[in-house]
Amino acid sequence: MATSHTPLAHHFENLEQQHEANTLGMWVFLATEVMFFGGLFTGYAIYRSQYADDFQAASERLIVWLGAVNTAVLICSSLTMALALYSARIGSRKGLIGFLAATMLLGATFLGIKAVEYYIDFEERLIPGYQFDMEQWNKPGGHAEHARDHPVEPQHAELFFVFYFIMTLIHALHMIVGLSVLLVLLVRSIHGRYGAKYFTPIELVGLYWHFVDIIWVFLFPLLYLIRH
Amino acid sequence: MSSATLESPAQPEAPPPQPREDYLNVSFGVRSWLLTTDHKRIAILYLVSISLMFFVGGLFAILIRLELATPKGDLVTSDTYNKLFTMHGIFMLFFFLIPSIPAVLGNFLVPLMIGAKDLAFPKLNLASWYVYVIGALFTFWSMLAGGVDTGWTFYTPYSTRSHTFVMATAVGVLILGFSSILTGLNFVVTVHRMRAPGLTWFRLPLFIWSMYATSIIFLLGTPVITITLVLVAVERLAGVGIFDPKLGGDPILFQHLFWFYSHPAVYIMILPSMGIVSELISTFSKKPVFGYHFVAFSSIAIAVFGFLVWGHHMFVSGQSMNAALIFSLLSFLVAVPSAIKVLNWTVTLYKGSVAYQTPMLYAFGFMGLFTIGGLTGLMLAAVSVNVHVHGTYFVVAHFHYIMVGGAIMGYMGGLHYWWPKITGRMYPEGWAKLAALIIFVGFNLTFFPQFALGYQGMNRRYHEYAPEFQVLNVMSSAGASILGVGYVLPLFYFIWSLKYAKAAGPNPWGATTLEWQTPSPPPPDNFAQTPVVTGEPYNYAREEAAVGH
Amino acid sequence: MAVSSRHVPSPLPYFLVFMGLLVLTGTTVWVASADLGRWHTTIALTIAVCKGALIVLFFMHGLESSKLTWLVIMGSILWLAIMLGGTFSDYLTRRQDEQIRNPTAANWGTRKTGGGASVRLLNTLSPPRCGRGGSACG
Repeated sequence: MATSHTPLAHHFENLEQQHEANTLGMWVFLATEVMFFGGLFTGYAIYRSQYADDFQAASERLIVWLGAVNTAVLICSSLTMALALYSARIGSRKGLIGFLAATMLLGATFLGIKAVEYYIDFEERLIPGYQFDMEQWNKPGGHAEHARDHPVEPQHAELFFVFYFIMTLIHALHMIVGLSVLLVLLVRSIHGRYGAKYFTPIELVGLYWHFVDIIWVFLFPLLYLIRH
Repeated sequence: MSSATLESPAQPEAPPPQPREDYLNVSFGVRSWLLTTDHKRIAILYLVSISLMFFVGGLFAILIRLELATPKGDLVTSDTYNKLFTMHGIFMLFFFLIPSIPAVLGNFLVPLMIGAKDLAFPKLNLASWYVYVIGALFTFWSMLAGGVDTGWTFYTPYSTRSHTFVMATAVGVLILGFSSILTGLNFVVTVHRMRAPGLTWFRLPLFIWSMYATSIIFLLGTPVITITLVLVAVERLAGVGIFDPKLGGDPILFQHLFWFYSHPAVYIMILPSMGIVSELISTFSKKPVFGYHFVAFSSIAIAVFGFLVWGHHMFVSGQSMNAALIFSLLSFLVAVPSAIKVLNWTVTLYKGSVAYQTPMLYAFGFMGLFTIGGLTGLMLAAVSVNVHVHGTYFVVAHFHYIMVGGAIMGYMGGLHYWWPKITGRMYPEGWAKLAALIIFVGFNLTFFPQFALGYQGMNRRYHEYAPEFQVLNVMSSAGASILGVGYVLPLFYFIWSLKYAKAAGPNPWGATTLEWQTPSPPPPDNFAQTPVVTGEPYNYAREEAAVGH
Repeated sequence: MAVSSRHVPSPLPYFLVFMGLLVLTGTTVWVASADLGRWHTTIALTIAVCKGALIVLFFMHGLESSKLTWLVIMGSILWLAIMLGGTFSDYLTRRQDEQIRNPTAANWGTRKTGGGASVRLLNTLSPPRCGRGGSACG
């Protein structure tokens, strides 16, 4: 359904220029996000290269299948986001609303599973700084017994969890921001603000959402699947 | 150059006063300023804020130089002195130098110079100012609560253990980073997508090339310091050892991440100034800049190469020798584009019709002082020299030559040059020349002795020193007081000019770039109709033909 | 311009990419349980890059995007590489410093021999000085 609300800002000559400026703006913003997360990836990569075995021992405490399910959930949400944009472009208001809602539901599911994981980590005393249990790593019957030649250095295991928590928390923060913006878009879609003539905000939020997905695509193997 | 000229440029007399709508009188009241989306008004908001920051940073400088007038640490304790130089660095770098030209002159001029009505994202522009203010408030609060003593470089593990207000300051700086990112984003998108018809890339004024290159650094560098400060904050809050060797961390990793931004940050400070100098040299010698393409590409080269050299701050930190040598070589290379620019400016002057108004005096000052700063930078890039003068006043002198002798000179030149465009008033030329002279003398007296002091081994960041260094230190402190006078003078005469100076016409300098083809001050939408660009910039012959000279 | 307002292509590619991404996710989990020694990280990152590329090309309409957009994408990847490369250039070459300063049988060996990894890291972070057990006492 085409909408009558096609806002052209006064400083642009036409809608096409506005659209081009907006999309370029979002891509450039995503470039800054690459560098933002990149700092974390750099720190993580350096420490992992130095403390490879300790990081592997720490990583084995994460629950791979939960991480894998979360990955699948996010991939689904990227699909629904792409389909939301598609619906807007063909003028299907119902499709747009439905797929936006589905994306939000999947995003919330991701956060829910993440919360479960954090709770499990809390129970196992893996929260760095607050209640990280240094002793558990080298106790008999502890976690260093799985085919390792030498004891785990608990400080390095804690360092792994520092990066795990910071990286996944900042990722989750980005998801929360995304969900909030999606909510605004959902409400506006219900009011018929978007359609074949004007769908730029959907497109921009889609770019952001897919980017956050890409970050997770890298986080998952780097954090959950360390093997040497 | 423009086929949509409103009034004939370069009139000999100021136009008769007429009730014309401009961006200043289009609306009144605090709300119209605090909620404006007009890039010109936002530039003024920034001008007021960063000027305040400059004087705060300057206050700390005065206290530092007062302490250093005598060898003994008798004015303040060593802990207090640590706070003084830390706050001096933080306010001057993050809250004055980094935003200054981009947020004031860039915001004002970028749309005007490319024939646009505003930047691509006016609301984000206003948001960037508010973010700046919030960051400044955090840092102010930290200063009033007792300050930070880690040095502006926040090196760990001291910054993660210091009992001063590191968190508040770090948060203030990282919030400020977002302001920079928004500004950079705005400029990049604007220059790509909003140039006037006919304005191809190689018809852009060189100031725009500089602002574009600066924006690349804003965008790709700032996020890294943001996340680094977040990590420091987490380390302080949670008591974990990301950078603390006692807890398994690596302090050198902090330095890598910190300098990955902070070295390009110094190019953020100098590139806009270089852009201004290009404009000034051209206008005040009535000649196109020699080697326009070289100067334009050099701006981009500086921005790109500037990201490859950060390890030269870490030659004595424990970084590996191989890495140090690679960074050293790259640091030599990054000097080349800067040298190309200085060469091209010099050649531009040859057979030009050189005028010596205040902006040009600042441009000359820039060229000489930046050259000294740059050459000493090359000396520091050599590992063999660096290991001896690292941590001494040699380094302090080097970067002040670049940042004050270079960047701030360019800023002052630009402020004077575009003052008539921004305010519609001319500053008083006599007083301005006097201030420029005082600044030049004061600056050299302050910082030239510091090269000798550093070379002889006087440590930086120490509140006391060996007695044999006193003579040069007294010279330096005397110079600082002269420099202070030089900087305070413009504050007075600029404000005076707002009310009492005669009105300036649209193009008092006879310049050729687009911002001079619209009245002073400009109307809210910049141009009555969108200009169409048909030729190269800096085409003085055509400009003179147009006004029948 | 990323998305044209006129021609709306079919959504079939989205579903194909979706299936591809799920398959790649399963693959990366499965590969992690195999015994590939030193290749694990490389393979995992390669798969992640493929997934990222699929998302950029199709979900983010990279295939239809302008050269400028690609410049932004490539630029951000390049800058990340600069940050990683420059930082690693320090850490990966520290062994040479140690070998030069204190050539012993231990530090000419592999990573898993000699003292603990953290001991070696500390030694490279704080070069041996007088009174700290190092051999560089004059």
